[in-house]
Amino acid sequence: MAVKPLLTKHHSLARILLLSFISLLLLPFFTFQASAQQLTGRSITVSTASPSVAVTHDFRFTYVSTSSVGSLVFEYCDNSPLPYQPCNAPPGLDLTPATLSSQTGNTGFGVDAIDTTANRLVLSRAPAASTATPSEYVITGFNNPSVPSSTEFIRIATYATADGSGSFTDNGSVAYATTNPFLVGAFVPPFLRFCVGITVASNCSSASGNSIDLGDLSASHASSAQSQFAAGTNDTSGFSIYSLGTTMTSGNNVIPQLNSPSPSIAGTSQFGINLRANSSPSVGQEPSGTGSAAPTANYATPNSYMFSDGDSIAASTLPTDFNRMTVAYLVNVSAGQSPGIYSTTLTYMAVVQF
Amino acid sequence: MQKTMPSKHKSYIKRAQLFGTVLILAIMSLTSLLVTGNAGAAQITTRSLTISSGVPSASSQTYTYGFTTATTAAIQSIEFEACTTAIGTCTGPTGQTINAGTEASRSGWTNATTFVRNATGANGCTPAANVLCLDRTQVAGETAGARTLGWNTQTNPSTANVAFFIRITTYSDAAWLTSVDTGTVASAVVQTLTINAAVAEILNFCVGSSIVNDATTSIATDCTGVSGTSVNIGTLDPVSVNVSPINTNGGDNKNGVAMVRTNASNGTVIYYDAIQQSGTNHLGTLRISGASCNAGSVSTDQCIDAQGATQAAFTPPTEKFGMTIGGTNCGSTTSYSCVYASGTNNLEPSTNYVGAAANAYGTSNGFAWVESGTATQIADTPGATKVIDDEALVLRFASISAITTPFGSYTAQADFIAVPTY
Repeated sequence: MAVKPLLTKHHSLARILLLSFISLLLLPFFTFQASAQQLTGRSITVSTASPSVAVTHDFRFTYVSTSSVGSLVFEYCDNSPLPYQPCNAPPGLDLTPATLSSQTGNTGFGVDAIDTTANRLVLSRAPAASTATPSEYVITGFNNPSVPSSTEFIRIATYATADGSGSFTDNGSVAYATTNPFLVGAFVPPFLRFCVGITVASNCSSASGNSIDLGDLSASHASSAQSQFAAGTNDTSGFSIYSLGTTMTSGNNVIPQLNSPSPSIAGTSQFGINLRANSSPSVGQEPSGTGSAAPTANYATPNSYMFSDGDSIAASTLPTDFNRMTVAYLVNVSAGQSPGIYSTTLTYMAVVQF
Repeated sequence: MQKTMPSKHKSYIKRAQLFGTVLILAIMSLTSLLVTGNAGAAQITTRSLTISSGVPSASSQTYTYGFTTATTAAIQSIEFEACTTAIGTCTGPTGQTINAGTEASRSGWTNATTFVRNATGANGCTPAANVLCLDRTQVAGETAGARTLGWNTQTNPSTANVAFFIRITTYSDAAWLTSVDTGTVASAVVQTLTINAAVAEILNFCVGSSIVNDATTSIATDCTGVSGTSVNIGTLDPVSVNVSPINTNGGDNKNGVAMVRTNASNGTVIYYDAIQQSGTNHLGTLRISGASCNAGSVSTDQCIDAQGATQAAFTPPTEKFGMTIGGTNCGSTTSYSCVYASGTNNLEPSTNYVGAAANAYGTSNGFAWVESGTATQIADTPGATKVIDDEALVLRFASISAITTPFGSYTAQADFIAVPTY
């Protein structure tokens, strides 16, 4: 019965020896872990996430220890933020031309060009006690790493020495991601919006009517009517609008067209149009809209009418928003005008060059 | 013929017989004494000691003894003796004090009378730092069997990684005189093992495009599944607003996405900045690269006016370009409950980039776009929980051209930046 306690004792001793051995193995690790404090509130703001382009890195963090600090080290790694892991330098990164453009909080640092390497930036100062305050360091003068869609870790550490050597005091890591520029694409097609009708909306969203009845023509007074068109274009040279057709006819009988701008004369056979608001007779409206189109000269004088097949009656020399124009029709007949039903078909055409 | 022994020989035989008889009687007598001795202190079986902490020098510990008594007899006193060895001369473990405390727990005892510590002791139990003497008045027998006894206010030995033994002896009387059962238990105090582990800073941030157009459908398992570097919102028209995804007239039926995964405990902010293209004026908006555009809002140049920092709905035919966040897509989040409609997402669109009110997915609030290249916040983690598990912002782009907007291919470019604070 005395054997069992002895076995228990041996078992316990073996366990103790094993634990002691493991503890000894782990001791350096634990000691290392316990020696450093974490910088708090750590962040990095990059001016651009695009690979291989000039960049500014704005580091912010709060010191924890108040012991002497002679250097700050920013070590860039693309594999791990942990300080006891090997560091793989991000491809394309070269910190040697980096400069410290501003610093706040714990200040007095400058770039240690001797100890700075391609992926390890050392900021140095005469060793002095640090304060546990938020600090900011803006680094510029270098390019982002070249690999897109990659997470870059920066291991930040404070050192008592002025050259980033020895054991660090406080440390912590930050991270940012390189991303390719994101593109938004769209296509704007050539636009020519043109509509014709008795009435049209100012933006061509509607148009109605395609026929005018002037009633019985009389030698004692002018007959008149109106129609509208609207147009807009993004053609850089604008557009021209033409009227195509003939004067009013009835078989072989013709109401003569006005070949030059002329006033309305009752009792004289004449047919013409213009694009203005007229008082003699009262017909038509002024052009409207924010566009730059305008009636051409022969059709731009109130109370002055003209018609010529194929004439440009309105134009813009620039891209233009919508303009709505009202075509005023004037018909006078003489007492000797042959009776009949007179009519004509006019076509309006907008031309752009793109 | 029978020979007659000499009387001398007979005398020797008688003496031998007598000696043998005496020897046998003596052996029988000794055997009887030995048997009697063993029957007086039987072995306690199934013995154990559970200590509430194995930390060296820990005080206020409770030692719970478990054992099975072999003998049905009264137990009116017990001696617990802590030693550095299980047998032999007892040396008390350094720093250990068991001579303190009260009964803390019990089970299996036939009689309910509790034990109390006796600071004086007697006979077989002399109190010391390593000797605990318990007694009670309870003449009724304890049925042999399993039982436990917990005793509090015990102090562990101070030497780490060393075993200690406690020898237990029960007595039928209340004065540690008549032992009943005995046995030894063992335990050890060990060096406190501090286990440290490092959780590395994590940031998985990616920007891409996706046909997903809601806040619930998984865009990708994580950033490794996010691809694409562009969105095409098709052919613009002055009479209607093109809002991604556009699947007609050249649109690619995609939205932009920005997925984030980070363990930053102090929050994460997502920014964009419009990349400045070549040309003159309005370099950061939807424009024809290299074009000379006019300053101000001019709809006849090859730059579509950016909406600016303040969100607004677009109204035809005024040319505009902008972006909003349709919603935070939770389709890839597995670490916690994330439902945008319920507001349980951690990554929240920021003012001027909230697509629709009341956590609805959409674009009814309108769009914004800062063309200057200044980093502009579009989302952050305003809630109590800051970490983000693959939540994705669904970026919806919109534009409308004026009737005078020159024709051609227009492009806007942007950097998206995640700034986690650890």
